[in-house]
Amino acid sequence: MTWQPLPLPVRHDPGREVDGSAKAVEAADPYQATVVALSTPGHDGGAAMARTFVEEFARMGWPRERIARMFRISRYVAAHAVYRARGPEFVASIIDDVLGPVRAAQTDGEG
Amino acid sequence: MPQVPNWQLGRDMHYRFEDAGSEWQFAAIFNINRCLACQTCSLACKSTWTFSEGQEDMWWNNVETKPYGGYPHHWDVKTLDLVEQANPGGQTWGGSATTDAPYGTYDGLTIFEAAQQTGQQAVGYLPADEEWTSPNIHEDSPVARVPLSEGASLPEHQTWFFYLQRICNHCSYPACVAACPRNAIYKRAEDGIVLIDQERCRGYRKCVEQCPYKKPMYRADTRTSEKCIACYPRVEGSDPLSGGRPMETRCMAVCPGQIRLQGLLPIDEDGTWREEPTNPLYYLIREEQLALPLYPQFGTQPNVYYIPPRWVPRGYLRQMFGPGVDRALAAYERPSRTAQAVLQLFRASQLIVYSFDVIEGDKIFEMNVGGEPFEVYNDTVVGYGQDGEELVRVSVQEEQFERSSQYLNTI
Repeated sequence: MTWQPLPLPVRHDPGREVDGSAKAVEAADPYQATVVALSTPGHDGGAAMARTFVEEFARMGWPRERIARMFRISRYVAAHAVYRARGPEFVASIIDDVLGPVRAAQTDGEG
Repeated sequence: MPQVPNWQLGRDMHYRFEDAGSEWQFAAIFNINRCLACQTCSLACKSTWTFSEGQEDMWWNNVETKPYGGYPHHWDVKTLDLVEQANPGGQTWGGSATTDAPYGTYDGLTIFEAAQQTGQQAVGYLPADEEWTSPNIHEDSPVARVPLSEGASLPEHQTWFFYLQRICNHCSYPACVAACPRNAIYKRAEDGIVLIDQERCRGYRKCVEQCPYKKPMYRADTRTSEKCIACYPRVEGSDPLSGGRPMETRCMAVCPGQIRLQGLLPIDEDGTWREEPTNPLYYLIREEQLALPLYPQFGTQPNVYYIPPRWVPRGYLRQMFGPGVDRALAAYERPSRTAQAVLQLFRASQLIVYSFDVIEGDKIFEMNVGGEPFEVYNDTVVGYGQDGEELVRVSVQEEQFERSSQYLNTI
């Protein structure tokens, strides 16, 4: 008897789309995250986290554009969440604050 | 009951046994700021030890997402609450920081002291079976789902969070050792690693109940408890890879984020840490004080230390790491030149670094930290083994290779 590969499980049935996350919340479901109330008035966790990322990578020698690009890539989930929630100007302002504002390229005076 | 000195509390405390002491103490530092929760440590632990019959449950490292849950669920909040019930409102810190008491003095009750009226060695609880499900519960199942720019849909928390990496703390005053009615748990004199003697253990689960970190786990099929063994063949230098030299545990050695550093601290005859400022662990924990114990108020004097996450509210961090948080974060945010270099030793070598030296380099750039200029120098740290052999040499500015976006998720 020769080996035969098993058929792959069907993931999507076009006529019967399933979206687990759209199902109703049940209080008794132990895996359903409950709301965590965090009373931290005045604490901007997103800004603090974004600043940490910028400083950590700046110390490793990452240039400005590479740090900015990280925030734009959705695979860097936490950094991208800040980028999406607060906008590119907000991220750029933190990078500017840590690395200094963008300076015009210096020339040697010739040409 | 004997009184033993606990430097993390800045005072003596009740403990079942006299401080027996060990020649060396297993210790580690985890930098929470750099953890990405890839769980490579968890998988290294599992793949290293669960390879054979009888070893199926030898998996102890976990990384959990705070403040949502834990493994077992809410282990820390539950133990904090038990102590609070014994001494309502009394868990406070006072006094001023000194060399011998760097976090001041703990005025509240430890888990041992809170248990004095109960007939137990320490207050604790046995987690229910369902509390051992989902080691990283609520990281992957929050309520919100946010569509991302590239078409994927990933879960996302709407507030701050951080990852907490956990192994057995190989405490100086282990609650599991105190709790065991058969004295089946012992702390090794040579390296302070805490082990359960499977020949003596009868599965009473007192260690599971009274370890505040919930790191001993009961195994139903053998009816014994098991716990993290700190990869002791590696630490002993008996792993064939090591050439007879002590090696870091597997969970430390594999970390892609380079957040872990593990070693051995020399202990004096009176049980205190020998002053050894060129030992990287001693330097970062006692000299710079930028790494802190996890829930020092429990009183077990845990030996895994954490660099706290910078973006988390200070009140939460002070509860979790004690009153040393503000100083630790200040020391980490603007590290000294030496500290900046020593932080490069994290996962730089599989072999245990016993001492370091720093060779000064040039200033390479300046950045702004906390509104003040901060200079970065390309210093080089050299790590040495037990016999003085050079093991590793790393500069602050490491060579980097950036993978193109086309191949971000490939080998």
